[in-house]
Amino acid sequence: MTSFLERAALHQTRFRTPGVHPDSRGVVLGQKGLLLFPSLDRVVAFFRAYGDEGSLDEILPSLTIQRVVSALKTRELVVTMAAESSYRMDRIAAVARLAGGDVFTGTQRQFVKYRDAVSPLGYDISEVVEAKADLVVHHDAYRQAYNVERDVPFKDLVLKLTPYRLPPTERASGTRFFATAELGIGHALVGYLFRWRAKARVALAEWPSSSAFDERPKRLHVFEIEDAPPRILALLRSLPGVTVFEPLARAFGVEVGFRHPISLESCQSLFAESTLTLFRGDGQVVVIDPLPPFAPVRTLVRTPMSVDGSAEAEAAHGIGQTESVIVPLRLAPSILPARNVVATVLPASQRAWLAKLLYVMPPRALESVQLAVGAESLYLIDKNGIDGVPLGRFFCEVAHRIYVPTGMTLVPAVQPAVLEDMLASQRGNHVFFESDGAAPRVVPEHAFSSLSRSILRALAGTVVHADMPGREDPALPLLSYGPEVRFPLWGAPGRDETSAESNVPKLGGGSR
Amino acid sequence: MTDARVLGAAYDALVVDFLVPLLEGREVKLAQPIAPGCASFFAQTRSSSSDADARIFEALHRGASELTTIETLRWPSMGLLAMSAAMYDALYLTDPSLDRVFARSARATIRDWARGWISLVGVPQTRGEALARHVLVERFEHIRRKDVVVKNWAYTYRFFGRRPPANVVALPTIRFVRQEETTRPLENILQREGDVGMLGLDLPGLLHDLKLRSPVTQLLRAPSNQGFRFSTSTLAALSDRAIRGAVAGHLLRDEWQAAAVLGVAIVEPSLVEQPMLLSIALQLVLEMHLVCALDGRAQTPTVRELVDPGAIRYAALLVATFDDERAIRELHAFDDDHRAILQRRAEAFRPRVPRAALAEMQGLLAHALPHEPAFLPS
Repeated sequence: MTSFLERAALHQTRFRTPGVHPDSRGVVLGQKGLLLFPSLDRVVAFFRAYGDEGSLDEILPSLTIQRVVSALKTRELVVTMAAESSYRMDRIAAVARLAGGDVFTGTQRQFVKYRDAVSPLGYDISEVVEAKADLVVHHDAYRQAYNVERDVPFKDLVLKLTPYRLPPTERASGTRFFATAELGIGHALVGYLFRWRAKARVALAEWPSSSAFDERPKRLHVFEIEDAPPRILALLRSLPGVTVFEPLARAFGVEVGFRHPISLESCQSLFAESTLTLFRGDGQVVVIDPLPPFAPVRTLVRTPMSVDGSAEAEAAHGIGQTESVIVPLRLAPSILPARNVVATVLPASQRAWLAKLLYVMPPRALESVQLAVGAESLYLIDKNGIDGVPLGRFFCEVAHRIYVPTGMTLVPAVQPAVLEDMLASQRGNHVFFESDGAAPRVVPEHAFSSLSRSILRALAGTVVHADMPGREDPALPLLSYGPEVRFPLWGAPGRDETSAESNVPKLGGGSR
Repeated sequence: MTDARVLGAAYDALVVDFLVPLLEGREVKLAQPIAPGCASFFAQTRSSSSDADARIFEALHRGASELTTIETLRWPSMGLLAMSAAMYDALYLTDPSLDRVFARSARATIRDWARGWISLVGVPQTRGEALARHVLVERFEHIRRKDVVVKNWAYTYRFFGRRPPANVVALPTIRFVRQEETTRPLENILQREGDVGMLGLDLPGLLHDLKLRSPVTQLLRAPSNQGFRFSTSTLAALSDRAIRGAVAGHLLRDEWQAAAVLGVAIVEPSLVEQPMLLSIALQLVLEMHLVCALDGRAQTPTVRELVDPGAIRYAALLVATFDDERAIRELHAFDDDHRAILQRRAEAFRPRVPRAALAEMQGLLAHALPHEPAFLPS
């Protein structure tokens, strides 16, 4: 024990430290808790750890973060909050010490070290120091006076932190998402989401110009999408200008694939209900305040309409002038959601795109898609839905083997059976109504074949001989004597050794 | 003391000029005879040819693999080198030009040298060595010699295993030169060179001794050798399961001829006296029955074949196996279907096997069984 502090004793009621008193357990406690951190990253570490451990909301009402400076001009950070009870302070103290901070308690200016294992009931200062400072902390190792330099609002701290990227295995797969889209792509997204019948709402958020040089205020489409299939989510994430956010609560969200350093769920009171705060992965924060009204995407689909003057002309001439009413079958835009989208037609120029796509198509799609190759177009049909081929103009089947482009309908809206009767001569073939107003195109049934069978070049196998390699018996060896010599033993190798060695050891097969 | 360079040249003559072409089927060249005194040098030297060892290994391995599975074999090994040197010297003796004054007396010495080399060849210690020796002996027996007779208007010249000199065959049209070539196998050479035998060299006996050093050869040629008896080296080779399987499969090419020989060999008193060795021989016979039955190669023996005492013993051994409790316990390790096939074969033999032969085989089995826990081939 140094001379700065004294250990508090049980049932001690009088302390030199102003504003502290024993609580019900006898622990020395002031009205405030004070955490002293050497740097901002330690402060962030404390909030990260405390947010994961408990709720930051319970300390937020009384929380202040201040940058303080000592007489020696060293800058540190002080976090103060209402002490409430020694139970809460114990939890705060444990996390703060873990993050590298010191823990004090006090009421106004004088703060004494909070209890630890050495002194379970806390500490009292040995003498009160009169210093011209905003606060004085009394530690068992030091005594330091600080002046407050400036406040650091907690919300500013949260908004300035950059989310970090999550590994793929930890990425959430929720069902509700926010997405922001630049103005140019927003309308296309509205149409896309409407076409795929996604449950989505859209709003237009607007911010005033941040600079006098900006031509116009910044605007973004904000989508709220529910129960979107993963493919839509993947598409949106891959689109430039579109950012997808995972909502963590009603009023805020973080970009999909990222996580905010501080557990935002534990500090929901920071974000007002009438606002929407979206944290992007690159560190930018989109704060929409106030929240604009959202509208379902189906109400915003553009429906081009034209007034056909011919009907008026007919009326002018009078109905009685014609003996019968014969009208051609025409295509007209429709705002009804597309149903039974089973075909797509690609211009022949996109043949190369389809070829590239074939390499990544799943086997099921390859097997179920039927392909017919025309002179100008490629026709693809999949009775299970043509979702697997994101190319070309999609067609709905309005009657058996009669197709119209998505977003359009045949007028007059005759029954499917009537259409089939009208095209009875083409029964068995596929009839495509094109939006260019030309006569419907008929593709014979026999022109269609399974995609998996029609795309591949003919395979020409190379015959590989897998027979056993021919056994080639070596030829019979031919004996050839050397030159005739008069004395064969003269100079014969080993002759001397043979006569000298009487006992030659017998050698086994494997030895050498 | 022979100069090391001379010894090195002799090693190259043996390995590069003799052994490599012998195994690869090319022209085998003989230089000077090699004395067994070179053995200690050969045991420590290497060929000057960079690829001779690899080619020999490859040829030996290929030949051995045709018989049974083999992972590797050791080359150079002293056993194979000594066998090669013995062959080398034996072939040297077949040169008719040795039958000359001064040279004639060298024949007995060279024969002794060949015997010396043979005496250096011990029992093979590994499967690879046993199979490699068989390959070597087989290639040796395939050796042949080209004899050329050159005739012109005045003279006739004979060249045995040598090419005629250029001056002898020059100007063939003017001198009316005619050549007659005869290629003769080793067996024929030995018969023709009768004078070799007359001189007391006993070259066939020498070659017989040489072949005795290859137990696999002995076993594979047992059907054609009426005097076949199991020796220590053949039983040592048969103790290897892979060699036993290969030999059994080979002998089944003519099952009953092999049966006649093996039936006599298994009751050889010297073999019966040693139950452990006897059990190895009996395993060969039972493996032949097993392979024959399971491979569907079974042929019904003719009456004449089952008159032969050896063939009767061969058949009786299978019947006796199914009569012995301990052998039946081992038979339970077989698959039910296989055991049934084998038993049907035994029951087919039973009525044709005399009671005395059956009792003899039962006694033989009882004698061998306690000494071989895993008696039956698996």
